[in-house]
Amino acid sequence: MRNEKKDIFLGELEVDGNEKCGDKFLWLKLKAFPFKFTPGQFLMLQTGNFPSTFLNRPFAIAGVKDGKIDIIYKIAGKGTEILSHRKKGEKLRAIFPLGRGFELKENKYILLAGGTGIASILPCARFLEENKKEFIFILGLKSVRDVNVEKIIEPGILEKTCITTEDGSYGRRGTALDELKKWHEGNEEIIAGGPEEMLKNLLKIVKNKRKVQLTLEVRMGCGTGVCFSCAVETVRGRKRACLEGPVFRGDEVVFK
Amino acid sequence: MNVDLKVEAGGVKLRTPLLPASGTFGMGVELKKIIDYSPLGGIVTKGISLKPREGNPQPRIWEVRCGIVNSIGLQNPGVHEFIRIYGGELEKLKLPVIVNIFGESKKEYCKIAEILSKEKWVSALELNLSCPNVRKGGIEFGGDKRSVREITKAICSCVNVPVWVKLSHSSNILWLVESALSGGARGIVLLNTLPALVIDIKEKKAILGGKRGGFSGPPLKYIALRDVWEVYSHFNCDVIGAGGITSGEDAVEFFLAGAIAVQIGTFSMINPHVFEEARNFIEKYLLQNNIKSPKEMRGKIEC
Repeated sequence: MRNEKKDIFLGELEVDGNEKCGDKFLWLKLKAFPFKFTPGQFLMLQTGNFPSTFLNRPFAIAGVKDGKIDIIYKIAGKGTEILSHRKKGEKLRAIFPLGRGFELKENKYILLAGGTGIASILPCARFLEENKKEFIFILGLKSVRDVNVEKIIEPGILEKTCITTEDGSYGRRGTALDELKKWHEGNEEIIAGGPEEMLKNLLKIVKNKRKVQLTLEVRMGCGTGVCFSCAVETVRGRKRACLEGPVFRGDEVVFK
Repeated sequence: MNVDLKVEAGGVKLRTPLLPASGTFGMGVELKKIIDYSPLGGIVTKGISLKPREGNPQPRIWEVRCGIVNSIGLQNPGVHEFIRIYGGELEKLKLPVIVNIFGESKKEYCKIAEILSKEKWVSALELNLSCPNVRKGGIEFGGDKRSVREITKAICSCVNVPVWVKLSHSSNILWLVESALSGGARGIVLLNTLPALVIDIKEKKAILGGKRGGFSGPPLKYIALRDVWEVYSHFNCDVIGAGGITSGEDAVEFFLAGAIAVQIGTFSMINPHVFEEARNFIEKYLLQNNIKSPKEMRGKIEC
């Protein structure tokens, strides 16, 4: 399946593991091979066999270790429900890596993840940690029971992580944005991923939208830029989130 | 025996009888990063209009039982920007490029056609007279045989490239094809998506942002095969089959029904390798059945 001439791979990957990782989150491991990806890029994945599902679904590449791809997901609909039942050894069609990822050239970042936004933001934390850059990782959850953070986040990054829970089951009671207000002075580079509401509110409170990079979760068709299903509103007109995103700067994206 | 996949479809010489379907292959260049284009006989672009179109609001796509319903709304940069941004890359492909065009009036269709036919990399124009996702244009024209004849004739008279007409299924499809052919169409593309609607009973509303949508997916194959066969056996014209093709086996069914070439749409969004897989299957099928070319299979089912 590996085509040496192309940077984007298309073929079948074997499921290496697919287990619950908390009450709401699951961790899927796919056997692949070492490949170059930018944090923020995603993968299109088959979930069921036709006719149970048809279109591939997009998932953030949460990490690649020893040639295995980590996908962190929640059951959000039919596709993810069917995916949650796939077993070790089963093969799934995949296209990866796709999209525009984050620019991580600065020396200091505030990382903000809401819920499953962790899947896009965790690889940023890993990259910054490996490259000895300064960061703080704010992770907002509805409840600490949703995800087993110790299983998903390695110790070096966990000590730089600030967890907030809406139900107060761990850390600060409140949202990730509440925590951000403590840290935000005005000139920080901010990287964020999570529900649209959170991203909208983030842009309302930051002082410099240009310094914010957001990853958008958008319903997709192909994931490769051919169908125009995933168009999002930006200041330069409607752009394909799978091709010109899913990462956009805070001053580019237009929320309704 | 050597098999030969080359065909001439609707006045366009293709190195294989496999094409993508408009709307599922972007502007023709996006998949270059992922697949090898050699199994393709040519490129069919997204529908291009005179002025830029934003397209419909979200959501634009919905997975349904056995397929999808889409309502993209023909987002495209408009003919001038299309040529400026993509013309160079499309020319470099050295493949026939069939540009799908859409207008809201006969005048608009002709203007777009004239502008495009001046580009040397444009091999043919595919008239979108059947898009179910827009209020004006497209399907509005494709449902009326006088409009089909008039628009086709007007465009054919002002361009020097072959013109194909793409239709959706309807009960008077033979009348519409006759009109397209009498207007000068060299190829008939059957089928576009089927007009469809998806409803949310909780919210009590139509789900897609554009409300009206088009259904596509594997079940469309059976309707398309019937239309291809009816049209080919009636008119003996060049039919480019489309609708629910997911494999080389499906493509062969279309050749047997009367298609000279096929377009693969929705499924190529899911598995872009389908073109290569289909090409390999067709070659093997021809060899196993001692047939030299897909042309020899055309319309050979006994019905």
